Amino acid sequence: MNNIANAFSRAMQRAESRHAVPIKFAGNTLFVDGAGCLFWPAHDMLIVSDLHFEKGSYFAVLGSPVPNYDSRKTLQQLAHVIKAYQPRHTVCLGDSFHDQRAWQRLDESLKVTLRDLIQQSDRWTWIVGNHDPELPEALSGEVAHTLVYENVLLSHEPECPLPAGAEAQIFGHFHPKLSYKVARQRLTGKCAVYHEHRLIMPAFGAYTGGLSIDDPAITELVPKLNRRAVLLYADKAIPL
Amino acid sequence: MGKSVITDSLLPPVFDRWFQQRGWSLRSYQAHMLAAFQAQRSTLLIAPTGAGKTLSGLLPSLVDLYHTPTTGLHTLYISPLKALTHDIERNLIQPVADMQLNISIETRTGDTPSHKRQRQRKKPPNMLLITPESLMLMLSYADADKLFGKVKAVIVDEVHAFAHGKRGDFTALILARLRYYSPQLVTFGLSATIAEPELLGAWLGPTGTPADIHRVNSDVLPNINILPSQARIPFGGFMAKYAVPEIYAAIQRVNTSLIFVNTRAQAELMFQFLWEANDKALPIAIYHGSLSKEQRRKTESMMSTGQIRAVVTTSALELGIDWGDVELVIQVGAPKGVSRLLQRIGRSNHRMDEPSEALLVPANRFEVLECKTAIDAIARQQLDGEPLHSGALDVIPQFIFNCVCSEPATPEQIYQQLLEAPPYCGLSRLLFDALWQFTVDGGYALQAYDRYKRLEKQTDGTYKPASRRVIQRHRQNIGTIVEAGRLKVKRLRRAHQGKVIGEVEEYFAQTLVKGDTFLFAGEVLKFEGIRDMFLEASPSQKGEPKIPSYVGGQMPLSTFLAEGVKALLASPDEWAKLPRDVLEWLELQRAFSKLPTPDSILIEQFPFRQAQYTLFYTFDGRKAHQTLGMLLTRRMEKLKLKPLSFSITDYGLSICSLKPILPEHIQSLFNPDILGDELEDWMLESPMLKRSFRRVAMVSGLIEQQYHGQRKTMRQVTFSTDLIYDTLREYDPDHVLLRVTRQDAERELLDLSRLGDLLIRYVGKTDYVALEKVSPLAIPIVLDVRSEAVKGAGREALLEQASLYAEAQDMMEDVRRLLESQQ
Repeated sequence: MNNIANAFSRAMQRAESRHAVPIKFAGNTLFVDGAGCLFWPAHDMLIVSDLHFEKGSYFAVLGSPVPNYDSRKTLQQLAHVIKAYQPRHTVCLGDSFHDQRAWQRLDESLKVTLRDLIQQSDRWTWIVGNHDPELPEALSGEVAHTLVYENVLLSHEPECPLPAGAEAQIFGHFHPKLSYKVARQRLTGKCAVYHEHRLIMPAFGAYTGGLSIDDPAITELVPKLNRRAVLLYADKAIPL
Repeated sequence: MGKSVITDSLLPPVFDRWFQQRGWSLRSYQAHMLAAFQAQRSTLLIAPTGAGKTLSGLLPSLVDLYHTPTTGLHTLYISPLKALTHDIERNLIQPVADMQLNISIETRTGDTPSHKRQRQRKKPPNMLLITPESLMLMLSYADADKLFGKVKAVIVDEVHAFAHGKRGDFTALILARLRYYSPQLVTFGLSATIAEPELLGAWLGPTGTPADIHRVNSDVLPNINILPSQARIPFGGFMAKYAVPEIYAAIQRVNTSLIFVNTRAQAELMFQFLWEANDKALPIAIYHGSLSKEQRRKTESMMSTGQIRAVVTTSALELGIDWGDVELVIQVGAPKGVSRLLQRIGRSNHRMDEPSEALLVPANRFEVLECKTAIDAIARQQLDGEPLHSGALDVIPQFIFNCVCSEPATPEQIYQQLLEAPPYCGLSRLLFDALWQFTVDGGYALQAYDRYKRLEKQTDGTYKPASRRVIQRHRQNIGTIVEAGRLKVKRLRRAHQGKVIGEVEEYFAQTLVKGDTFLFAGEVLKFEGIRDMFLEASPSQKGEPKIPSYVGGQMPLSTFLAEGVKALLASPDEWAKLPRDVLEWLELQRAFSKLPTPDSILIEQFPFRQAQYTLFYTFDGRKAHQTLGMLLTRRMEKLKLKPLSFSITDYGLSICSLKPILPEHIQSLFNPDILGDELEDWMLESPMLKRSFRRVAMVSGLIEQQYHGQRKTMRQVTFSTDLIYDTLREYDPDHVLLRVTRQDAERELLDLSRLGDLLIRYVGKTDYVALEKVSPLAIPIVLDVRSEAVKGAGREALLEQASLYAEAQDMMEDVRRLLESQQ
């Protein structure tokens, strides 16, 4: 129980400085962090989604000389949140690697960084996504299609119907973003969006653009009515 | 008699007869161009519209081809507009047919079908009428040396309209490349009357050898008046509706009129207003760049056969298309620049010895002042001019790649060709090398893997494209005009079937929901949905339509006019000639607040719509205002005034913040030291730089421009250039594209030297007025909604107010209790 209390107090530190905000989701207390991750203190679990490692170099291979600093940036951000939450269990919710050759292109020094990060959690889970149906063999950590904790299913894309025992689900894949208007000013950013039984994670990768939460692809899953969102703005988490 | 001597020596008899049949005689400047061609002198011809400029430029080539018939390309005619090439083709084919000359003439633009393009490559015409983008594409072919090796003349039409921009740089590079293939070629530039012809003359020739300048003066001043109206002139925005009855009456008085507005959206509005008033059912048409080719062609042909009484149009018709006998030009909205106004007015009455007739319809009260200033300037024959910049850097990678597509080359060879283009004569080798490296492989300092190369070095030191795929990609993306993503508009007759009637910006399409109505191509359409890159809409009768938003088309007021307006404001004696409404408005301003004076800067502060507004009436050009806005908001951020956004106008700057600017802040805000080191960081963070980066990334080939042509399953697959910009700044701050972005922003947005002058001139000379509410003069400015966001404490504060923190606080309280209970 002491571990859990520690997990809560680390999350509270982030919340006090408004970098994170607690939400109630299907009866569980979760923290949405402005850095783009989700923390579940009751399981000392950190969830990140859609890292898209080497998306930049993927486009470079196709002939766009896009700078390939995205993996560097994504890893730096990941190291930052792992340091802040020190999770016992880290879950990558799919599309961690942009394509099947991403691992081969990843810079050696960054491979070392990633391996170090994996060592920092007792348990590390790679959920498979549409971009990475197979994970690099050279990497440690378990590979899974889905995970179930309490009444919540964790997967890359939404599952229907839910497996026995699950009443709610957390998934990524859609890269939600929102645009908010206040006092004639418009604010736009990545976001987490949820209602009573579905929560869509923001994309964590440095080069991941966004899909408006008003897009039919998202409203089909989380309709406008009753939905809540947490906007990520300047590293802060803002519940709307 | 002198004239006929020239005719004898220069004009062959068959041409002479043709001139006589039409009742024409060779004009002296046409003779001049014939002589210039014979003497191999590149020449800039400056003549007012209606003087037969284009024929003057092309006549020497026709004569030369008559004397020495040849196969292959002899003359290139470069025009900034597709429509212009078709128009010139029509006007050339007639005399060539009449005189039975054996000369082939064709056009080539982005609209030319591929079979025709292929044939043109195999069997090129003698004269090719072409746009810069299509010409650059032809220069990328492996047989470019054969195609262009015998070119004798290049004619650049309407030089004044595009030499100043990125397309001008692009065209200067094309000329340099053509001279490489055909060193003996002569360049002719054709231009309307401009303030500083020497600049364009230098642009036209190779570096160090400016073209000769030949000027044709017009003695006849146009007849311009402000349209008197019964209704009151509105305060701000584009509210020309008040004058519709008078405009309609003016249309009825003449056979044909052109109605110019400044943006495509305004064209749609004006067109609707006129049809609502059109109880006589006059044939009134609309013409702008978003309409489909077929629609435009139809209007063009109806216009030239005199079937249309009036056309509502934008700058799309500003350039030299021959529209038959236009009797009257009506400019709705402020002209924004004296030269532009003259150009537009020149569309009427295509005979240079009779005065053109024009009516100005100001759309709001500020614009009355602009119109008045412009009319006075034309009467005094004063023109405004734009300075030439050094060439845009993002065009260079495109040019490098284009050159090596046609033949392998070393960096040294390309560098020497670049220096021959006047806008690039000052390009340093160091900067060129960085741009070269970018073209080869991206040129990034940190490389995560064996990098992909676009260019490959060969054993002899030359470079060639690495694959066919990169060549194809390059060819698809040639061009410098970066357009916002666009969707074709399909007008449905039945389910998913109908005709494409034009294009709208993707951004606008995304604001629509099913059932929304909007105004397009002069009709109210109901939005049905987006399907396969088409916006589907059906005709609708009802509803208050939205207006499509078109990016671009906003014209900045020339500094020259802005100063004129400032002077007019400062001299109440001159006001007597202004309409009564405007006079009252200015009197009211004088009573309620103050009027700007020439030797101080008026600053007004007032609360408005849940925020604090401060207006700085600086009258110093949009660029200087833009920079001032960035710097002032930076200082305000430091002073904890929580700035939210600013918007620039032609007259000054308006800043919106949560806390008011007070008199004691002015000294620290309006101070030259804001130009110090804080400028750099703030600028790099700004949305404006990100926008510049987006343009630069597309033009330089960093990201795909054409991706809208393909269909993606999910939109988030596409890249956000903002994200690329952020990582580049963080990990590779010296990368050449960041330098290019900075230069681009300085060209387009910033005017530091001017701003420095402004700040020094007005230290301690500010006139601060605190008001309870918005002043009469400020109304048109605060009603203008386009603004630049300021990322900072102000917006965070706003979000905190708006957000559901209370609930989060409760939950945090619960967690705290939980934690305490466990200790």
